[in-house]
Amino acid sequence: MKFAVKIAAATMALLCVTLGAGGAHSVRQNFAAARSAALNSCAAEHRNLCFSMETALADGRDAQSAALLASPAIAAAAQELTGPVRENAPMLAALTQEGSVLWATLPVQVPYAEVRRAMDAGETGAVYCRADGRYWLLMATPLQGQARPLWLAQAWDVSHLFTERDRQVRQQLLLSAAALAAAGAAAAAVSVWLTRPLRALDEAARALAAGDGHVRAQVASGDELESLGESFNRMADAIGGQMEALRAESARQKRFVAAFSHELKTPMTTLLGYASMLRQGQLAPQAQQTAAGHLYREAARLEALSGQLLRLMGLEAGGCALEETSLPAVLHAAADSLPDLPAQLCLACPRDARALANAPLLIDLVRNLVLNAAAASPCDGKVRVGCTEESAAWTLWVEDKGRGIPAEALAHVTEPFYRVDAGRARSAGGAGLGLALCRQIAQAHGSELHIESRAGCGTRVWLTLKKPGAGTPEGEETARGEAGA
Amino acid sequence: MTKRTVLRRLCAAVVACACAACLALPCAASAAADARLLSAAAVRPEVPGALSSRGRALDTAYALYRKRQLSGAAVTAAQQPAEAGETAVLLCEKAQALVDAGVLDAQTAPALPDGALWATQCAQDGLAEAALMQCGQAAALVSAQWLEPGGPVTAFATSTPAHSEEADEMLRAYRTYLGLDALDDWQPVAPDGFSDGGAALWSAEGQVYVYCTAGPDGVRLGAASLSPQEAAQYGAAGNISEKAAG
Repeated sequence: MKFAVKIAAATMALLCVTLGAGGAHSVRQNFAAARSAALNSCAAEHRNLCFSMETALADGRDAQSAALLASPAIAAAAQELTGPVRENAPMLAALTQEGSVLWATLPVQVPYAEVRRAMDAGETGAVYCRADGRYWLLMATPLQGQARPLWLAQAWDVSHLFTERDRQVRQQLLLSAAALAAAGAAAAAVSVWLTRPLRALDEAARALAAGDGHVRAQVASGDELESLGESFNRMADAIGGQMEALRAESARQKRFVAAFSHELKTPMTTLLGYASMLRQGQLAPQAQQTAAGHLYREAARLEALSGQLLRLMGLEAGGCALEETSLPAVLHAAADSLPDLPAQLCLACPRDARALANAPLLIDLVRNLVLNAAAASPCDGKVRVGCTEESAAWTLWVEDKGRGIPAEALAHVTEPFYRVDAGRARSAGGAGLGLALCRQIAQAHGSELHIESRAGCGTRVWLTLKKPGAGTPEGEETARGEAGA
Repeated sequence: MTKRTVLRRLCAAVVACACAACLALPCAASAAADARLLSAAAVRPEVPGALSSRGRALDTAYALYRKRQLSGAAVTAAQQPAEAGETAVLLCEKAQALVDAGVLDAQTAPALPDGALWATQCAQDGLAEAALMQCGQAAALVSAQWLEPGGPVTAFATSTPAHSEEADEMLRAYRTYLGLDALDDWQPVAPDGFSDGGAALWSAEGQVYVYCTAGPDGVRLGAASLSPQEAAQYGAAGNISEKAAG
């Protein structure tokens, strides 16, 4: 059942109960009030009639005269009281204690048994009876001061009370039906209007499940449903972001596999080619020596590639231990490992520069950055490396005035196997893993590798290293670093 | 059709039946009320200021109370001219009844006036009145009120002088004559207009008021039904006008 239908049905059910209970109570109260008023009026009239009858029958106090007067006196008195036959003439009867009727103008519809029941109710009671479709109120009172016990019974036609009550019941039913019809239509309209935001949310959720990541719920109801819509939109944004991230990661992994396969295929092809030639034994000794040299170089290249990949995987899997390290020592170690650097290395680092770092990894990082800077053919032939002190960290930078990196390549240069100029890099022995390693090392140190470059002007690469005893240099990243994007 | 669908439809049917039953509640309630009304006796409303059972047992108190309920305590019917001789005989009978009861003594019993007489009689709801007046220099008045037929004298007045010291004794005797001694809650009252030499009592149980005055202007005694509200208004411990007593 639709929610709108439930709301409308609940409203109608509540209205039914209210109308039914309220109507029953109202009708009952009105009927009780009308009966009470009629009872008061009839009781007063009956009491006065009894007094008048007693006064008229005063001679009856004499036992002797009572026997003589009896019915004629009663008839005369009653006739005097009731008067000529008229519409509102009192309807009464005079009875003995045993119930014998001495005189009566009661309607024939009133059963005698009801008159006896009125006598049984006594001078403090009254009875209602129904006969021939009409309702009667009966009272009976013993007359005082009579030598012979006499009762005066009186009847009133109170059918009008019941007719009015039944009319009110019918009116209540009609009003209830009309109210239910109107309320039902209103409840249906209001419930449809109230649940409109839910339908909008439902449509948005279905579209999102079908793959439309740009769908958003437009709910402006100013209540909890609007809050739900905003939460849905935030969820859709988060899902969209995660989907984009997953797509980017998938694409990166595809590129990685493709690049890795390509990097692996090239040396393997060379290895297999030269190995095949050597197997065939058709090469001259000098050619064999050359082929062996190629085999050795390609195997060494594969070994270096596997080593870099292993280190990259190791850094992605887990962090590294950091300890207080002398930055000048790191720079000098890196410089010492590059005796044949095709550029002049200029170091600028204070002697007392110390930071939390992993010395071997940091030396690798500096070494890779220096090699890349030298490979960029700086116009002044220099590669500058230095440390700049910040408030709680050291900034380690490497810059050159080489060919620079095109803007469109900046976002990808730290991806594994990515090369701006693949041909030149491969001929120089690069596999495109250097900057990827540097980025992982920077993240392992709780930092990020920042690259600023302009094509034709040069490149500056820098990262921050926490001073001993200070907070993390890049946000709240821990010493373990991030395991790559 | 799944079990869930069946349950849902069953719930909907139950709710619909409940709603229909609620709408029909006034009809059902009316039918049930009628059945109760027609089977059991109703209770008549209590009559405010009803006479107590002890008062109802006393004929005089009940008759006066009945008269008050029908047309007020006093006789308000127009006095009709009557035959002086017949009225005189009637008044003598009433006076003699009071003498025989020891309320009046023979000396206090009025002498019928001579000369030009004016007689009136009337009756209303069980109370009858007669009066005989003599106009002229020796003006005299004798009047009486009694319960019909042949009941006790409920009021008597004569211009024959009497001693004021006799008022209390006359009142006690008169109360006994009326058969009101069974009431034991009499309290004295001091009505307006009573001169020295008057006595008056009121009983709440009988809602009846008796009075007697005696002096140079004559003797007046009587009884009337008086409600507690009227007694309080005129002061059961305060003033009660003779007008209420007729």
